[in-house]
Amino acid sequence: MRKNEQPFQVPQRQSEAAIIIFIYNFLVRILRGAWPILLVLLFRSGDEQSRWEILTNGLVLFGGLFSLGVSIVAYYRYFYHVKDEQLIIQQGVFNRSRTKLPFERIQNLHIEQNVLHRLLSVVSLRIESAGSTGSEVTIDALKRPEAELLWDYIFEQKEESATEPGSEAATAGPQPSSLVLQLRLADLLRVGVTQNHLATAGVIVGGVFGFVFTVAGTIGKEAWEKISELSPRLQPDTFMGYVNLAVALFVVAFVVTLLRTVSRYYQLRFYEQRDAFSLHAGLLNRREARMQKRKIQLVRWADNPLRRLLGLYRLSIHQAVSGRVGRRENISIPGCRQAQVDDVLHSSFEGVKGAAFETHGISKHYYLWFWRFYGLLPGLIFGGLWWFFGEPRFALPAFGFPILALIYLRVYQQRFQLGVSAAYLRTVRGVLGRSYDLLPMYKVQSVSITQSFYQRRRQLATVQLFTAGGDLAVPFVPLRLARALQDYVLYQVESSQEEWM
Amino acid sequence: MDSIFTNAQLPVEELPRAASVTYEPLARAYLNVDLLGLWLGRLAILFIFLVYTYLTKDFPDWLRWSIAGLWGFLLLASTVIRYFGFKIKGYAVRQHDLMYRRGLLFRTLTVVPFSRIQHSEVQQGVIERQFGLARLAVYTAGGSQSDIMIPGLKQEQAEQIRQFLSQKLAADEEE
Repeated sequence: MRKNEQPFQVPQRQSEAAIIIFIYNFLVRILRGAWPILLVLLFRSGDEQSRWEILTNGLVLFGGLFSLGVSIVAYYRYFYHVKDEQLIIQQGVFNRSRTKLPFERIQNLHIEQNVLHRLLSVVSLRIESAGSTGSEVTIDALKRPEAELLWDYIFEQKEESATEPGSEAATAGPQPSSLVLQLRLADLLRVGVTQNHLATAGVIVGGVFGFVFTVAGTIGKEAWEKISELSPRLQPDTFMGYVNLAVALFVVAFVVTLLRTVSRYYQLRFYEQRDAFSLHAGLLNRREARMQKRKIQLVRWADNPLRRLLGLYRLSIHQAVSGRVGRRENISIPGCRQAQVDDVLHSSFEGVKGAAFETHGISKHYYLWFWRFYGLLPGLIFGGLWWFFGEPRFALPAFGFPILALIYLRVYQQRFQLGVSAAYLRTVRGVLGRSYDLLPMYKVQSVSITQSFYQRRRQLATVQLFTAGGDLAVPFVPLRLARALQDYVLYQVESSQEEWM
Repeated sequence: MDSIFTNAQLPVEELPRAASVTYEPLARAYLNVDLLGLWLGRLAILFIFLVYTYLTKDFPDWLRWSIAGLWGFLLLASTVIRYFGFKIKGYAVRQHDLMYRRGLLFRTLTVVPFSRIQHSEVQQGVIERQFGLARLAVYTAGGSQSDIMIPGLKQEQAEQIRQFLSQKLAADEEE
């Protein structure tokens, strides 16, 4: 794209497909909010409607049509254009609003497509910016070429204003990108199998309970009891019944995670450009994200017992987005091998390759202290219940908690490792899996040292390092080390000339 | 003292030490403000609780008074902790950063470099205004835990520090 050719100068509308997407979004919102009411209407359709019901139904219908009309008008009043290195969005039906996003504050662009977008062959462009207000803007329906043009244009302008004029401006234009990682179907299955299935099981149980409560609350207790009588298997009364239920739950959780992984990371491609990374993935909903290397605050990579067998990590790249909101954007890539993790680290952080990390452990008082709360206290509570009610089933947690907590905390303490190099900090932690965090010191926003009365007596302290992409805590290190770390990090931050964002 | 980080680019012993700073104490009146706020808030909740239980039929007497007693005990405990914690609270403005120390049982020292401040503001509550006090809030991009809130400053003083911070920020940006 040549410099004198400036697109998007005139306010323009989205693709007409936006109407359909607005209507779709509207229907989804209605269904999400009002599905119990709709369920009731369905259930009672046979009964004769009272006048009162006709009135409320009429109101609901009127409200629905009205909002539908509003979403159509909204399309005709939505314009975007570019002026003076700003993206300007005008929208609103009753109250017109004008949002200005200066390019320099734009952090990330995401191109996203759900199934409907793909049927209509449009994309939605989500723009994130730093700042306390209006930190996120979505242009719902754009033709792909337009979205890409806008995307490239914004990034080019950003780079031009970031680099000094004349020096590197000659390299403008699409940057060459190299493929860092791509997940084929076999990789994808591997990743899916090694996900945390217990977490999915938890979500399923939570979701089912939520559903049951809402339905039972809407259709009334009697009707619900009738339904639940039809499924006696879900209320086992024997031990084997519980085992079967648990096995079934686990199988369902396994299948669900596998499907979710495949649909989320289908055809994942992770590219590296000169100063950005980009990620493309998804089966039904496709998304493309791009993040600039200099905005990366913290990189984390973690395995679990299964992943470790296969030598895989989940890599997540944390960057700063709108500090006040506290929502931190990150790109997360499953199924990375060590070589790819190293690739990303070396190209995001200058000089991390070959940096020598000096390692420090944490004090044994870490487990001695936390065991009181996670081991002793629950043990005493369950022991008390056991003694009070005389029920032997409390014996298991009464002994189990202290023993398991002791093992877990002890292993955690022994494995925790802080690495300090000249310009980087790294922590390694975890009991079943390992989780690594790496950050350049000059990205730190603030440092705090905390000492409890227990730590003060033993000359220990906990250091917390806050970055705009996440925190790093180093618990129970000698006070002397904590202070040295604080002073050193502060020195790095205060003497650094580099922009942290 | 031997060196702690052997591969650091400079000897850590020669760095400015955050630990050797003398802290400015908060205004004496702040202790009164703090305790007054604590007692007013807690007693209001106790009052509402008592009214509620008297209006509820058959609320057991022993339960009402044991909850109220526990509440009173916690109030006394907080009073003692805040009273002795007041001496711990203090701030320091260094050449490149702002420090704030607090906490009796869990003592925390937070340091925010000037170059990482997003914005700062002076806030004043109803009680504080009666005593001519204000608080200085300093926000960073690191989330709420990384922010600093220094209470118990004289109002002019809080304004002064805030002015100083914004001048620093402006000077940094020009560089």
